[in-house]
Amino acid sequence: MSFTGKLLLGMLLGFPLQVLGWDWHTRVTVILKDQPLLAACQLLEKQYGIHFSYSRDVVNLSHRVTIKARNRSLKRVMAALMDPYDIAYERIGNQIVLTMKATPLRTISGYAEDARTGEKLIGATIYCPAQQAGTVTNQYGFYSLTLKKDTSSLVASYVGYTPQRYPLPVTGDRQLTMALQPRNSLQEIVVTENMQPHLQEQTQMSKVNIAVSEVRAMPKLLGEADVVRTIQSLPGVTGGSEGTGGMSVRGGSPDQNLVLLDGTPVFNSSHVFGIFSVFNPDIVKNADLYKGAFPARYGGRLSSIVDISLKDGDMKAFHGDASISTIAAKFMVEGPLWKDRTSFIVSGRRSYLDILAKPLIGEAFADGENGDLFAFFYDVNVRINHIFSPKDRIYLSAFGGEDAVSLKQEYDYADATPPVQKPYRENSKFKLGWGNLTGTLRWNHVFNQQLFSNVTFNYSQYFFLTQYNYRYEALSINEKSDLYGRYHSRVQAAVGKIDFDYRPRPDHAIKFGLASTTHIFKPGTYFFEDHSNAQSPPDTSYNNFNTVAEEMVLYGEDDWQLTRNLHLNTGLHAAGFLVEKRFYLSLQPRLGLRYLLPGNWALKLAYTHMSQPLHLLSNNTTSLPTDLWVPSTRKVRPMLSKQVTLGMAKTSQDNQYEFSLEGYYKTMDNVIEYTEEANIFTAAGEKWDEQVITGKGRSYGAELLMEKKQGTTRGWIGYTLAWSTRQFAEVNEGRSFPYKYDPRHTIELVFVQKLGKRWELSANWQFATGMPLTLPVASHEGITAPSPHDPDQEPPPRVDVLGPRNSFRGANTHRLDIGVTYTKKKKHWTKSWNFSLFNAYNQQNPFYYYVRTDHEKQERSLAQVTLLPILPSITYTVRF
Amino acid sequence: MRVIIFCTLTLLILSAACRQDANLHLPYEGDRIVLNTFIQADSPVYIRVTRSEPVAVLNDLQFDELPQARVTLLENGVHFAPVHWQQINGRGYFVSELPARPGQRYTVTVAAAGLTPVSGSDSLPAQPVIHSLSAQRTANSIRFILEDPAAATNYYRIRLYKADSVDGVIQPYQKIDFRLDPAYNNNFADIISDSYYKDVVIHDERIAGKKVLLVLQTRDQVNYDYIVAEVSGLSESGYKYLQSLHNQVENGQDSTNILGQPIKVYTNIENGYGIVAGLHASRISCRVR
Repeated sequence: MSFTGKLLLGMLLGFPLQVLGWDWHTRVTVILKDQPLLAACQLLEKQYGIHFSYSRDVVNLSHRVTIKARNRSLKRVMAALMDPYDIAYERIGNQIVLTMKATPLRTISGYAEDARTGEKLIGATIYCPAQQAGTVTNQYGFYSLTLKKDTSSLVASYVGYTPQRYPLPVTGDRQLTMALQPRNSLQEIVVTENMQPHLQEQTQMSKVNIAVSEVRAMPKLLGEADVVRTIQSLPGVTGGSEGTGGMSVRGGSPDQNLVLLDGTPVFNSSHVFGIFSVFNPDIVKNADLYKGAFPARYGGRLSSIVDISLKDGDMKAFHGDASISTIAAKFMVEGPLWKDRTSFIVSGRRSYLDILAKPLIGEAFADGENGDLFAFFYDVNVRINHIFSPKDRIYLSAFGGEDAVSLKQEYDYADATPPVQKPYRENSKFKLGWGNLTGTLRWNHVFNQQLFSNVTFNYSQYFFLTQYNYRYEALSINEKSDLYGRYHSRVQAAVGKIDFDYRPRPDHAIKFGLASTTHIFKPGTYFFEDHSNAQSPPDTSYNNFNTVAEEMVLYGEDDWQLTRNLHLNTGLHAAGFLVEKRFYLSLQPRLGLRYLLPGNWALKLAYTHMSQPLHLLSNNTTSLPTDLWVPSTRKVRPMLSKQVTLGMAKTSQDNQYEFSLEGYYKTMDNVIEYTEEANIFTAAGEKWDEQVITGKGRSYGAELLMEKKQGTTRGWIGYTLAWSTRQFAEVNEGRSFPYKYDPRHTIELVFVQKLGKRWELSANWQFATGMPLTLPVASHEGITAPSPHDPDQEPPPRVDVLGPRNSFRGANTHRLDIGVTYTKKKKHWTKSWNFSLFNAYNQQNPFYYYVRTDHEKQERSLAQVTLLPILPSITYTVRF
Repeated sequence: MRVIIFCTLTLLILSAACRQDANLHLPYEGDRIVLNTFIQADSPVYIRVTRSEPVAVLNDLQFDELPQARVTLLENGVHFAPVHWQQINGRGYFVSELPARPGQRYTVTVAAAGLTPVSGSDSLPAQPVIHSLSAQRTANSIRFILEDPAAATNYYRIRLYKADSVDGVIQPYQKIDFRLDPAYNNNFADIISDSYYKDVVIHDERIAGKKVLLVLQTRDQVNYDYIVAEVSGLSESGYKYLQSLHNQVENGQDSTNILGQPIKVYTNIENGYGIVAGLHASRISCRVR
């Protein structure tokens, strides 16, 4: 063959080999480690001349892949690369065209519940292993998950319960109730407990879920387990002195915490000046604390949300418990009113020390022959839950709690022996009390597989009341006195709201809703009567007015999976506050980002605005029941905070350990406090805003939390490094000063160890650097009389000059609490004993400081008062 | 149950608050001039000038006087009258040659070697209108009428004295402990805690522009011949000073009130401590029935 012939033959044979030089059976080698899909395509193009055509807007080739394929068919390699991401590939001409598969989807929705009691499980994980996709139940126990149509099964899991696999029908949307069986070990104690998805799978940050079993296992104070005290053991949360007087979250003030009980705001969540919270842990199902990165559905407070859900009540059988501790007795009963349709739960608690110690206290108060004294707190919860249909259920609940002191004194000196004998008799009655009352009606409705709604009407009030009767009657002359006085304050809120939970696609979880709240403020009304004089006091009532305000909220948020590794939670909370013809509008953006780093660490970032139109008039040292809630005014505008948070988080693969590290920076505008000369108890008249000053706050810091969530040994280590300051033009000559809740370092160690089936040990150690302190820096002579010639002169008083606000530091505080619980199961019931030691090594932590005068030594010195020394307690509980 | 009762009683004993010395030293910000005067209408002005002390020093409540200080007294910004150092009842005062006049504004300045000069000023308030004082022997109450003018906010300090008649002149000699109906000062605690005072400071928020019968309950029975009621009109500065001084002594200083907060005593002295306040007293007397 001539050269020309060879050339032509070569062209004829060679052309197709060049143009169509590959087919699906072509053997290729692709080895990549953690590279984007695009790199794989480029490799195939370069090495084998395989061209790709696709639209960047439609096909995402940024997914990172690891593949080790040596001499495999092109078909198999393409399948390994593209199938996990639903990318379709088709040969057209000499190139491969990439498109997205039109995969049919379907949605599975329903509730997760305890198979034994019907209790809805909040935060249960519903997971599809084949697709590595899942969701968690919302706060009503509802879930919705959109999956590929060929999904054959789902797995539901929850700590304390046996994970369960549920086969799915071949096609069609489906409503499916996941009924999980509690594990047998100590199931009487661990009834419900929350397991969130891995931290790296949550875009939400600055949120801590408080497991009820941890609350119960923690050492008790005077025999009472407490949700809020457990929260105070977390990084970023500071209690008042020795755990009293409120809670500061990330440098905020106590009034900046929104406490929700089944979605209803509770204005004062503590008994006995903050030592105990009003939440009976026996009926608490779930508690979440948000310190920042607030979802758009929350608003109205600057610094934290404490969202507490109560148990629904057993749908299948009657259960209950009763316990008596060192300070209080309580009970809880739950059961079906109509099996599998209607359940109820009732609980009550009352302190009883006043009854036991009545003779001692009566003598201490010298209440006379017919005197009497009561000093107690109580709380009562009632809840009814009814299922109308798989799509509709209703909850009706009420809560009431009060702290009360009642003192009756009666003296008849005519009967006394000289020299006490006096020619008159007198008696007085005094009552002091404060408390909450709430009611909630909730309707859950499932519109379809993707849309869930919750309609809520609730009412909440907090009141403070003190009143007295005083009667005096002279025996020898016509003189008598009959006085009655009352002071009370009250704040009320009536809320109507509707929330929607919409899961249109696997990569979107949308929540939206609207709410309207009517606030009624009565910040301190006096009422007086004098039945003894011809002339009455100047007014029978004083400061008797209500201020009504309307608050409207509209919100929307979307948890959006942008890429496999990047998630965005974006939302907007729009709030309007209308009071006395003034309208304050606030648009609060909420933004959260999560990026999955190598090694399954999540990098998270959040930025949020929060607005608070309500203020609490409180003294500058301690939160008290007398503190008054007031609305914003023209002078005192709503508080506004901006917070940015950056952090990393991870849950270990076996769910045993959680680790999170967060840094935050928060600014607060329009924070208030009383002027330094204000007479605090009487300062909430119609011009209360003239008694306060307005300023700014700033806080920043870092929080570290390492937690062991499962196993026989549980607990956590928390560390916080924080700064919090305030700045008022009228204080410290306008210079910023440390806020009263500003411990630089805090450390919390919590340890719970199960020993066999019956014993459980727990310990809690806390350390905090000293709190800021205002001290006197000089003394001088005072004056009370204009002239040295005035009669009956007293020595001039001594005046102490206060130094700059909070410019000194108190002593560091630390405390160890330990507890041990013994549980024994009988045939039909279970009993348990708990012994606790609060402040086990009797550390003398300062509750407050004062200047002590020693007249003998002619000197004064700083002294401290310790309120809570070592306190042993015992609790006996019976469950059936 | 017996275990629980035992634990409860143990708790009651243990839970008594514990007091001890704090491991912190009281700071001192250095010496300053202390200027104190209540300027009483129709009376010479008595001015106390002393030096501040560290908080830790007690010294029997004796503060260093500054007799060498240079003190000037201005009326409405103009030099008013010379002041002279005098010892009265063992204490040193700078006393003006002329009595203060109602309705005027006075300024006091003080300079002393080695200390920052200070000044303070205030106006004299109106004289309260009181009358119809009455009391009955062996009773526990004293009554009189106070007429509050409507035009302005008024502040009062009330005192009661036991008195004698000396050459036909009623002379007060000892203060009486009493308390006010809470309807006037909102102070429920006095009733509950059985508290009585030698003076009570109120403002007219509850009685503005009214003529009211004040019924003052005394700690002890009225068993003396004469009584004197003294009601002093106070300037706003005087009211703030006395009110905050009372609050500091009751709640903040050497406090046993665990819920109290440090109270700052009001001052209107520039660069120093103390108070310059106007005061205008009315006194009425009666024989006990």
